[in-house]
Amino acid sequence: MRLIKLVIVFFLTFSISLGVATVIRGLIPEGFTSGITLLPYESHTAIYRWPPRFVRIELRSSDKIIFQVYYTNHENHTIIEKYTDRGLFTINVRQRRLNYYILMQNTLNKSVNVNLYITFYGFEKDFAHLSIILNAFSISISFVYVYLSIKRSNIESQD
Amino acid sequence: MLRLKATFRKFITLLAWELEEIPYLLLGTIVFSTTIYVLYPGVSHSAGSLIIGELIERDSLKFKASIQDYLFYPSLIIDAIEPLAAFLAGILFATNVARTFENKELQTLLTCPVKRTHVILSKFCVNYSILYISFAIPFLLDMILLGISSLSLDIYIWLLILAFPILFACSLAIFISVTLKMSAFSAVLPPLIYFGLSKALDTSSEKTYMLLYSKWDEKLFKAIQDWITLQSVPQMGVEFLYIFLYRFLLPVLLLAFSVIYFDKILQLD
Repeated sequence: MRLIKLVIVFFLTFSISLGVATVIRGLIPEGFTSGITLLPYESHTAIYRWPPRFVRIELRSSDKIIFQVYYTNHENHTIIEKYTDRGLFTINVRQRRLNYYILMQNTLNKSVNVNLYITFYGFEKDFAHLSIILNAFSISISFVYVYLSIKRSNIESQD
Repeated sequence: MLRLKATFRKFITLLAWELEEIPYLLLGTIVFSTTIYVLYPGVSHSAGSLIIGELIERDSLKFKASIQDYLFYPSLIIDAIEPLAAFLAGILFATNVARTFENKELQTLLTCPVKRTHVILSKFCVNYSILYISFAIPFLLDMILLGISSLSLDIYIWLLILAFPILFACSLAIFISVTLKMSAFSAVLPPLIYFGLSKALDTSSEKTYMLLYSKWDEKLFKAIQDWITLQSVPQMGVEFLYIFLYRFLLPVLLLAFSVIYFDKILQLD
């Protein structure tokens, strides 16, 4: 009986701490900066995996470039944002396991300096869903256990 | 055969008894701190962005994963796990081993028909399992979030490598608890010894310095991966000798010495 209680304590604590970890991860923005010089008619592509949060991309370039963000699921690709100017863009990443491509293309006959500031903010959707489900499940199990214990002690006291 | 079966059954009973003796508050604290720590954005890499390769053909969107960098992120998490494992192992063994000397609980237990070796080994197994499971579950979750498939072999190799630093922390903690028999020292000394050892290795030579950080865990991961998939036999160079000494032989020797000391030398009033 104490072993079952131990397992419930373990599971309940794990699910609660997962909820706390979700909140901590959601409140701390993550980000990185990349700077690149694109030579005349040169292009650059980087492939990323991003967590399902909001992504804020700040593009600063010394001149006009083609800037695209798209994702692929290995067979099809979908352009989610396409710009030809500097600016500030926000993307809502819905899935974790997609490959996100950032393409920067210089169409001019001169070098262009490009700086990218990428910041992730907001809760990770999959992580939040998982912690809500686990919390609901572990709290229900705990209540069932407490209810059964009270019922058993009542029966024992009647005997 | 029957005798072996009876011994095994007694050992399992001892394990269950030891597991039931773990305080709920301590278990909750360990699970809470390990989960928050492993999934904290500074330690976990799944909260941020991962570069996974370079584009080789734009029209068909074919890309080449030149280095599968994301497969090596777990080694950085293991680096971060080591000090917390030493700290938690100290507290766990101080509560479960050293305190039983102080409150004479161990003497009561030894009046039962059980072998001393089984008593100390059961304590070690239970504490080690609790620490390993507490670290392994959030570590596994983080690896799945990193994009490593739960069905791939890589995930199980990383889980195997995770067992070594926790083995070291636990064997150090049991050695201190058995030899000193005082809960306060048993709780404080393992993290202090770990940091002292890290500092000593840090300043001795470049090879031992590298041993402390993720590079050698990555090499161990590659070697085990190649060996399991029968791609190549790992070469046993000086690097693997260091890994073997630090990760496996030292913890096993500490554990063996603790068991022998408890069984043959230790006098209980």
